[in-house]
Amino acid sequence: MTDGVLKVLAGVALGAAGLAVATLLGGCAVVPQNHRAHFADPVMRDADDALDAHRKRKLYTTREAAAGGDGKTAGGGCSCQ
Amino acid sequence: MRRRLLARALFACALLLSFAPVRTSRADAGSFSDAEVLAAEASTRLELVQTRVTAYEQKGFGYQSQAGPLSGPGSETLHVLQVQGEFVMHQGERLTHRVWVPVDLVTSASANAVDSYYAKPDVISTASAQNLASEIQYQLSARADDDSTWNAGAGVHHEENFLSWFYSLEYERTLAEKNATLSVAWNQILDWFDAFTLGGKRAGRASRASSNVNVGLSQLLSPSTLVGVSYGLTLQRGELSNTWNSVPTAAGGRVSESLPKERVRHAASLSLAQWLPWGGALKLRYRFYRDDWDVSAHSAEVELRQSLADWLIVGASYRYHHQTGVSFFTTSAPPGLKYVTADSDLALLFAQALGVNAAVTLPTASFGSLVLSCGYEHYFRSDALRVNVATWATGFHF
Repeated sequence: MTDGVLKVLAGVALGAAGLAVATLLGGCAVVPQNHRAHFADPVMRDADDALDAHRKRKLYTTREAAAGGDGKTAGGGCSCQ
Repeated sequence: MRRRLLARALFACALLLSFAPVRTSRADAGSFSDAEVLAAEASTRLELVQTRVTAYEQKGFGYQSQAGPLSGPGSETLHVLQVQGEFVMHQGERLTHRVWVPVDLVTSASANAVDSYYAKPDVISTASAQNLASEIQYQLSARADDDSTWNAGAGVHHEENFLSWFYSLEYERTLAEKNATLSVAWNQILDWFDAFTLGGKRAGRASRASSNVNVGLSQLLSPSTLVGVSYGLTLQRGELSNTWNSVPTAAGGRVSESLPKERVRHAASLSLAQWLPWGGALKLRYRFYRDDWDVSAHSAEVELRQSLADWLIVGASYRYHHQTGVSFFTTSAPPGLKYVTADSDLALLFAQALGVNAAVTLPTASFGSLVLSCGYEHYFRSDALRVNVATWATGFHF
């Protein structure tokens, strides 16, 4: 992939992130408590298996030069950079 | 060697099983009065006990490995058996304790440093014969009020040539009638390990420190849509090489890898989770990474989950990762370079991962819900490295 494509992707990423932040900070429509049943559906849960998340993170971070940004430190531990 | 390794594996399993009395103590509660039992139930409650076993099989070649021709590349063949145990317990209404114990049984991953069966570590032919890495982490979550939670964690990691300490502190606050959650986290890791020469002789001790700050924000966009953004900054200082990686030279020999003593890393991610009306969910995630070693990376991931019955959920995922290499990567180093590496993980590459998984939830009479899950993932890189991952888990959700 060329540097030009990377720059375009980076620009798209920054734009999407900026849009997301603007959306978040812009005061979205409040979802009442009694309308949040879908978030309790097991298919939506993310954090109910921290062990699976750990094994995935380790698979990627020990084989790639990029890590972090997901609430965990980038590098360190287990002889990884 | 095999008996010694088996003994260590049994010790690790015993460490995991040592937590079993947590459940037994509740089962024996009949010896107490009703009032004592009711009081105990109100003060402590076991939420989750689960174990996960994962097997990794890796095949590939990298120029940093000495397990091959002098000019490389050498073998990166690797097998790992990873056992994890997790226990989550609530104490009263405000405190939550989490204990997590991962144990890795590894072949050919790191130097076999202090095993008395070997006169010196093997960092050449097979990178290491066998190694056992174990770790324990504890996290305490304290709910300060209806909107604020503090999480503090600590842990230690140990393997033959390596010690590591972790500490973390996180503050979470819900906003806008719990429609949004803001989190700020600090993570600190200190690594202390043996350094080696290319021939496998010890060269004293080395250390590195990794300090990290993360900020995250999630927001409900609709009754079925959740988005999140996060940013992480990590500063690393110290010996950032594992010290036994080697680099082929233009003259036909090998020299030790040499990396800068500092690294500043930035990562930002954007995620979206969408509930689907047919009992499914779509999850998208994009991550951008940049550091001062000239690595830029883009990672995109999509996951689909589908409920097929009240007790069965299946899922599939795909991940694409692209990264530029560090500026000092080479597979044929000229003399006189200050920094040099041939580590295939630090090269220009793209990687893909395909995964499938299934989870079964079965109610039990006295142990809450029994959750059984299994999964398979195939990871492959543009440099022909391949990893097959099989994982299965058993847990009780009370």
